[in-house]
Amino acid sequence: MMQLVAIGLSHRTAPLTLRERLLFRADELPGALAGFCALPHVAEAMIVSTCNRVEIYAAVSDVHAGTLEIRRQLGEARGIEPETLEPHLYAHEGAAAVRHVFRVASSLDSMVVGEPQIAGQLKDAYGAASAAGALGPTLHRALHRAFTVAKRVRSETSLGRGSTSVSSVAVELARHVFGDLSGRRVLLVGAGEMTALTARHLQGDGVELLVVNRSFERAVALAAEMNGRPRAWDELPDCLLAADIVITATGSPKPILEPDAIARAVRARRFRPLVLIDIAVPRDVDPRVGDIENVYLFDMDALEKALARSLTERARHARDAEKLVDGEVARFIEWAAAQTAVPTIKDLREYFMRVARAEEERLLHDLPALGAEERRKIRLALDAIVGKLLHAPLTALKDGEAQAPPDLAGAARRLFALEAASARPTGRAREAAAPERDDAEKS
Amino acid sequence: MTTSLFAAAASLYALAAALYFAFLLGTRDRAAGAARIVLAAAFTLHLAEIGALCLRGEHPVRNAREVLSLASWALCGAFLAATLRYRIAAVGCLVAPATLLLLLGARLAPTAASGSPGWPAASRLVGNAHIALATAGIAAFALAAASSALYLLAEGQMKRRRFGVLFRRAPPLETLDALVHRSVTLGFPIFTLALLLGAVWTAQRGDASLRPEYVISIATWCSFAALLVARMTAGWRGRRAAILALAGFAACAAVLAIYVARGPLS
Repeated sequence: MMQLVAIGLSHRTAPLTLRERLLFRADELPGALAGFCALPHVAEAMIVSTCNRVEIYAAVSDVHAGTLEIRRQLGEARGIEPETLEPHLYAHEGAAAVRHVFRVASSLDSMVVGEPQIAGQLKDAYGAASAAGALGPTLHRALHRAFTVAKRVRSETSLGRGSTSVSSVAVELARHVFGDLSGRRVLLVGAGEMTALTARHLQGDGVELLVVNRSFERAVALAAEMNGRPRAWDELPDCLLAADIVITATGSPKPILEPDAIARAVRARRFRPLVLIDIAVPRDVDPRVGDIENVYLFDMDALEKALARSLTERARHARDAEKLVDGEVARFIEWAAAQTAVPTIKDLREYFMRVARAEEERLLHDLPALGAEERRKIRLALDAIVGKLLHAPLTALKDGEAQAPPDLAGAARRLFALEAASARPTGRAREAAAPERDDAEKS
Repeated sequence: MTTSLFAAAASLYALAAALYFAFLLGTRDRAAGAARIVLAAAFTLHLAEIGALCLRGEHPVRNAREVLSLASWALCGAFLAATLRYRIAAVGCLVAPATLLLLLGARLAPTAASGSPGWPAASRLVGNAHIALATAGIAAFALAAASSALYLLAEGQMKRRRFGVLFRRAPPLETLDALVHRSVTLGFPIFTLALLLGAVWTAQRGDASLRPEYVISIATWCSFAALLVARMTAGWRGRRAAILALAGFAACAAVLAIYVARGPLS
């Protein structure tokens, strides 16, 4: 029976210098895939090659040998010595490999958990392997399921939602007040590193930027860089009337925005909400400003608090997603096992029934004087013997496959020479039971 | 049949309320979509129930407690209409339970007021219009009040920098404020017309007494008028608007409560 393995390295295990040496370009994939599929124990292969991971997913007939071959081939294909590569490689097999594929597809293994690109990259890799004819039933099944799992994670959990930095949390807070930020005016007070960083998080939202700075040249420079408009320092009060969001980070030792000025501005603004994000230390905005109606003031303390909350949320979403993936792995393993157990159960039962019918035929031939009732009883007895003998092994095959021991179905096929038996349309029991073929394990 | 329709509608309202709370407290957004579908189903069954009762002659004009049922149905309808435009699932946490409670109140309370005599045919048209419009106005104000309540809670959390459940799940403050404003601007002219028709109806019946509900109705009208004027002239919005809308709704809820407790008019 074919086993799924996942072998490779990622941002978790290998530095960028090694990852970029191992990277496969799209035009190299067909050749590389053919190389992997030509390995003696490898039947199917797929290469995932992104800037964060290079992985080979493969179906192998022998886990140990197949894994070794793939590891060796990976180094050879890229001209990397084993001692450099080996310490960074991981290899998953069976259920662990399924889990790994599902987690990668769902973006749980990504550098930025929940980032959306990986599902597309995985689909491209799948497409390339499919085009190269490197896929078979094992990888088809696992990858199809992985894409479904990724879709479920996307639609049923909030994985990856929420902010991871002070700047993005500031933007999120503004969204809690305004909703959609497009068309809103954002005023940057102080043309430093921090305001620029926060403003960058707003750029995709279609906001209008105003930049005020004590030195006008810096305001002009930052405005040009951010596609905003510079304003002179003494225009600050007017800018407060126009802006919806104010991000302030000046080096001023004293607050530059006092309650009186803000209260006046709020009245002049006809109580339109004003979000003040004060990322300066010492603070640029007098804390009493936060008490003014329709003014929402967030200083570093508040932002840190919101960030902590957001990070806890993200961890919670990730746990939801992991739980979902765990459930899917268990279901997949069970399903895959049933896929191999079902034909075996059928073959085994047919084989036993064939033996019983053959013996019945012979017996009836030897005893032609029997009446219909006796014939029926003999048949029932034979059926009952088959049923009772098969009960325990069939139950074990049905239930036992989900857990270890590995490959019960394979063992059963080999023990009863099912390949040989089912190859013959009919036959005598003695012949069928003869242990003659060794290729029975190849199913 | 009306009993089973009522039971089905009430169960679905309860389920919708539970789903809205699951959305509020949980991490999955799908609960909100499911809640909306269930609420729409409840709304439809509720309409069927009201229709069936009307055919039996138990309609809002004859029975004040039917007004309660009709008002809860209209509130639900107003909310469902608003969800077409705004993402306001958290408001459903107030609307769905409120609708359920009003419906239960209408159906399960003792039927003291039922069987009150009908009015002369001449004034029935005015009476019908008055009751229908007043109910629609109250529903719009109720939606404004629900939105206001959520606004005050979410805004309070934001001001105190407590980033709790409401902060996470409530719609943006501006959305809630817009919903308050829209509901009031929609409800106000309807309520004004209802008030005028009510006055005509009273005059037709030759009833000259000044009842408390008349006074409170006028107080309701005044507070919503003040809200609209203050918003237009001084730009009142947010917290102040929310408080005023809640006060106005409390007044018109009191009028409704008086009618239900006493029956329409004897």
